[in-house]
Amino acid sequence: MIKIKTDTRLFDTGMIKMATAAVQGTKQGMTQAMRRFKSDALNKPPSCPVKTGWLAAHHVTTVEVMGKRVRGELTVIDTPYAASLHEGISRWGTPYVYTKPGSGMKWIQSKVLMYRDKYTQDEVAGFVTGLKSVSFGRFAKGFGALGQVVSGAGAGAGAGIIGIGAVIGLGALSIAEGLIGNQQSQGNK
Amino acid sequence: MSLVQDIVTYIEANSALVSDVDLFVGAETVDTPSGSVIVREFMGSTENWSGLQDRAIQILAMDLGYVNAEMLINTVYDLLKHKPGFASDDLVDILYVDVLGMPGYVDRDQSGNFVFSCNLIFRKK
Repeated sequence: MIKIKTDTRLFDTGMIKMATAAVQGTKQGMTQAMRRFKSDALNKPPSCPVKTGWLAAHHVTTVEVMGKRVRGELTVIDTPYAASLHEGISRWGTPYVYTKPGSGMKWIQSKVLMYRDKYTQDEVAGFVTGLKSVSFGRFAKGFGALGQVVSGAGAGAGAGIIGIGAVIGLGALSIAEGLIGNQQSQGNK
Repeated sequence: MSLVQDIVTYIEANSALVSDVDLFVGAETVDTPSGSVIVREFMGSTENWSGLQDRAIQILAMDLGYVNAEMLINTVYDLLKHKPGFASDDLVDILYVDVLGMPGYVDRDQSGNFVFSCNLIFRKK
């Protein structure tokens, strides 16, 4: 009789490490994506309207981890007129005139549509970097190959990228919603 | 015709709104009445190598009554959201209408109208 005993404890530990590293890597990638998103919103046409500089100075990005989800937000704070300016409607008694060349309405939402692929790439880069950084102890050689597959153009990597792309897409949409929601509450005060 | 004009034609055919009376293309006019809807395209539309277009469309509804404005925007929103194409001779080649921003109150305009806005992405070939 042949008895085969398998000890998966190290494998389990490795998988936990990998899951943690993936979230941390994604968080870093999201931070980079949000930095780029904010820069695009402020500088690329249609860029953020500037008169006194208050509006542009009050764009704030945050990245938070909720379980295995990473969420990024770009919010405009303490600026009650931001929502109407962003939506391009003239406010009570004060029709808007965009004085800065290249600036205009939808300076945030338009970037979600125009540059979402770049933001997704930042995200994926962070995710892959996170996985590559994982050390698997004495299984290092065996799992090292997994890192290579993920960073290459393998099917595994492809699936990962598609999954993250969907999450980012939703995150990016909620970014603009966050701004509007915030300004609604500001305006209602 | 332009996509925005086609959308307006579709809304007119499927609601009580009337073009150039309380349904406008592009922007509000000087004497835009209370109870109006405006359809316009904003920057951010893209087209990829295969010819697939993502067209960024904004719907604005304005009324002197808050509830009326909200009802108005929801009427148009329900007419367009998440539609995989339209049974219309005007609005053709639409693959899907995605929601970029759900209807939400923005502010009041210079006439005192409550303004609601929603943003849609028309995926078009």
